Amino acid sequence: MKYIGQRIPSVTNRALVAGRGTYTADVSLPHMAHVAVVRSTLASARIRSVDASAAEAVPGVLAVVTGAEIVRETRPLADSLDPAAAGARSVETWALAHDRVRYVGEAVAAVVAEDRITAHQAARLVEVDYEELPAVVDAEQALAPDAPRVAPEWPDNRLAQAHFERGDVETALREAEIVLEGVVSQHRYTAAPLEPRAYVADYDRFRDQLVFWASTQNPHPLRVFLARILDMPEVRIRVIQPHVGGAFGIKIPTFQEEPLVAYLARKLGRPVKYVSERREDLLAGGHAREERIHYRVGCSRDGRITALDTRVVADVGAPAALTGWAMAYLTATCIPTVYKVPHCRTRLDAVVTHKCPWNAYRGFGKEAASFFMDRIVEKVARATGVDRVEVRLRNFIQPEEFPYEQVSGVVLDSGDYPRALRTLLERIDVPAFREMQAAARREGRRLGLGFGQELTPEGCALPRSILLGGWDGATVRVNPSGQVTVLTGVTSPGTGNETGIAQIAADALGVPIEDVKVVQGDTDLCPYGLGNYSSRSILLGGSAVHLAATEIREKMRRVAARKLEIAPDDVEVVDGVFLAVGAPSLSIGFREVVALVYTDCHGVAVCEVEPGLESTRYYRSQNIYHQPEREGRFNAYPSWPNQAVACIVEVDPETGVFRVLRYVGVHDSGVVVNPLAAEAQIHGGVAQGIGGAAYEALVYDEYGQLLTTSFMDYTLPTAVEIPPIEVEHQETRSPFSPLGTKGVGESGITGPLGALCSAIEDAFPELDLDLSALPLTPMRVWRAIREARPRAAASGAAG
Amino acid sequence: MKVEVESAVLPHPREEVWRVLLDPEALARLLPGVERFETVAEDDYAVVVKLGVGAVRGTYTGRVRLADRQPPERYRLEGEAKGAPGWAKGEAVMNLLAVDGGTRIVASGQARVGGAIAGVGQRMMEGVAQSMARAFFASVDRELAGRQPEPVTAAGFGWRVLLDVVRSFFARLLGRGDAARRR
Repeated sequence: MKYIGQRIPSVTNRALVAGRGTYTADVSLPHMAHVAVVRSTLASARIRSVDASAAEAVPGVLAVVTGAEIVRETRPLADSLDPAAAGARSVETWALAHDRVRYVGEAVAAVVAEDRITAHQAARLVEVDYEELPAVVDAEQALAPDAPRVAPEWPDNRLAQAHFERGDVETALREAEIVLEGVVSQHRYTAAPLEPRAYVADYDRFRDQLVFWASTQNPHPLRVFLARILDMPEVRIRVIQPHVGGAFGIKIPTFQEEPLVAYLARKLGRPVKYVSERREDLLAGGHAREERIHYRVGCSRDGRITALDTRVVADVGAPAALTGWAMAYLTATCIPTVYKVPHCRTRLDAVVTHKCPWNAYRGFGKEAASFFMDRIVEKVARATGVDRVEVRLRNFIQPEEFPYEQVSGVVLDSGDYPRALRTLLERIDVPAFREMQAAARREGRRLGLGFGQELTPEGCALPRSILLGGWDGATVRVNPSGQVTVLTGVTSPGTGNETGIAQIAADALGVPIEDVKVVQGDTDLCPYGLGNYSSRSILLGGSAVHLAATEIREKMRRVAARKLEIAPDDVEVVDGVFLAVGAPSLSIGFREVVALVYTDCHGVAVCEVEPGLESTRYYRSQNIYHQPEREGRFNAYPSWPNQAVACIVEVDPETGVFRVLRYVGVHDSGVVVNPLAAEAQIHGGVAQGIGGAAYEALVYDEYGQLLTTSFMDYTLPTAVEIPPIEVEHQETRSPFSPLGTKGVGESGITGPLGALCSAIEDAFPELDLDLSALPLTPMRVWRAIREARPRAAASGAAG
Repeated sequence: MKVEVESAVLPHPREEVWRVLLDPEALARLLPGVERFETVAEDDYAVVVKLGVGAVRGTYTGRVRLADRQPPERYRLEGEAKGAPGWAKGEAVMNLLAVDGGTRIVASGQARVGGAIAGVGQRMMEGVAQSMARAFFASVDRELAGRQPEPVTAAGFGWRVLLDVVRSFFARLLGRGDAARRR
């Protein structure tokens, strides 16, 4: 392999760094009109009427569309993940709300005008007459029998439930030497890509064609959904994904605005553009995370976890056509992550409230499971006095036990958790840190060392989902010049996976990487595919490219063999040259074979193979179990990347402010195609993880009004808050994917949640400090330090 | 949110203050930013108010109702208004206290806001409410003293409110993550 494993800078760098990227907002067409959306100002209300007359009277306004028209002219939003398939409930939602609103920010009307400012000003004149209804904005309150019902047709506010159990939890808890109980919680926050959601639609009624440019992650599935909602032939819609300025899952369809903008273009026969404002994205662009996990854990005095009983309560916001609610399911599925717990029960209540619906966010609920288990092992360490690293080592699934079936039935493919943790300990040098900590303490400074353990299953494959499938396709075309066009069904949200894909194609064909061009994100050009989520671009897309490129190489080998007049088995391929085994002087170059195929298809060398040098191949993940009745297990993830992390923080006990001084991870995502790109993923993930753990929060008031609607209140970490990040790769080859790859797109985001809590606690070894609720704001840290009792003498903090 | 506002001591007897506070014509004249103040029924008024401050800038249309009159001690004020930046509604008990040297007005109540105001302006609202109330009490004082009320334009009033909130505004700018920290 010449390119796989190399640190090759992203092929998109030049255009993006020069400011020459083309984002959806850069798409500008003649006669383009602009859309502004009128959004609900109440969390829960019935819409009595909408008066658009004042808005319609504004010069420059082309149309004002309300929910009544949408219900008449379109179909309900297509669920991007069928809730019924997972035993979950759903409600019918539309491109505009027509009878009731369920969260502040829900779209209720749209104004199209000649220019953006006119559209926004007219939108302020649309009068919506609401009958306010009681709102419920807390998941535990929403479970009360008399709570206001978010979906009145449901018997309660549960959208989904789950129950996974192994062993005899009650008996094991009764017999455990130590039993602890409590709650671990994460607040509501979200991805905040710098590029907001944006859509441009252009309908040509003479050709009956809709072209839809979208800042999306999934052009082909989005086309399916648009066709269904607009009742249009699928082939009459072309979805184009220009450059995307960050997505992180939050741009997975179906949002109200996607069919809305397409509908408006068709209605007006003119191109229309919608670019979401930051406030709109924070109100209605999808939220994530808010979960409380109640637990009882039993363990032995030597720190072995014998029983774990958990109940996950997730506040998934209002029901919508988005996939976000499935994140709650993933949290429950992943517990107890990398640990062996003989008696384990996990119950889930995914609860709807009058808040913004969840949408996918990097981590996808797995981060909550790992964060929870990080807290559990540290609580066990605290209670037993066994070192927290030792507790992890004593409870880990061992390398020889893979594939390992976890409690929920998922099958962890491979890994070596003890080795990664031991490598991490060497990197961090705990004894040296303890000396540094003691020296700092003498100066009155508080340093702490924390640990975290990530498990991030990747390559999601769900049954009966048009969006979340464990397969994808690629076309590889060797052109007459010998240069290569690769078209993929996977897309890039700005991560640079096209570089890794080019590396895979170049290695399979033996061509220079400069000769490979990767084309993505256009439903009229690319093979059908599912786009980007769950780290699938290299894992699935790359595997499909490998299959297609290998097929072409094998065809070329047959042509070369005929030309060299030897058997195909006697031809080897070295750097794109076809050589006779044992007689390397007998050879033919890559371009010569290409020329033969293109110019001499009836000739002796080519006549026995099919003309052309193009192959479209589809790859299906292994280690997926979708038939529990037959297979006795259900697993949606082919690969289970993992990482052991440590961080060092300095805490100011007077203010509760902390600073991360060092952050180290030993990461295992199998074979790494491009370490530079992989590290970029991890760096970004760590930054988002630190942001989520300490800085970012979506705060609602008791009536369901969002208080954090700008970056002044929703505070993202900046370069100042993010420490240098050290990453070491450990390669435990995936036994299930052709190149041994796993997935790296969500790595990094989980570690900071547990590691920061762990490090802050470690900075106060004399206190029984317990941080189990995020975010770690200065106020909360300060209060926890103030309220902590002195720690019992037994428990040390050697690790 | 809770709203608690207290006037300075107005050097007038309670009965006189009461009379001004409950006189629709006087209210139309004295309430800051009021563009329209029409009687719909007894103790029920349709109002149009213009505010000129940052995120809450705009014209608001709404209703004001008076209730539970107990002259000259207290009455209840309820109101709601809607404008392009969002909506606000609230109620307050207006207490007129007889104190040394005259009368003190103490208003205490609850207010709710929604729409853009909630996200951007919620923490300005208390300052805005305080400022409006203070301007109103000052006008009541001038009215009773037989002086002309100071003409107040929406823009001019806006500047005054802005001064009142600017300090907390900057404190918020400097203290990043205020909303998160409040949790």
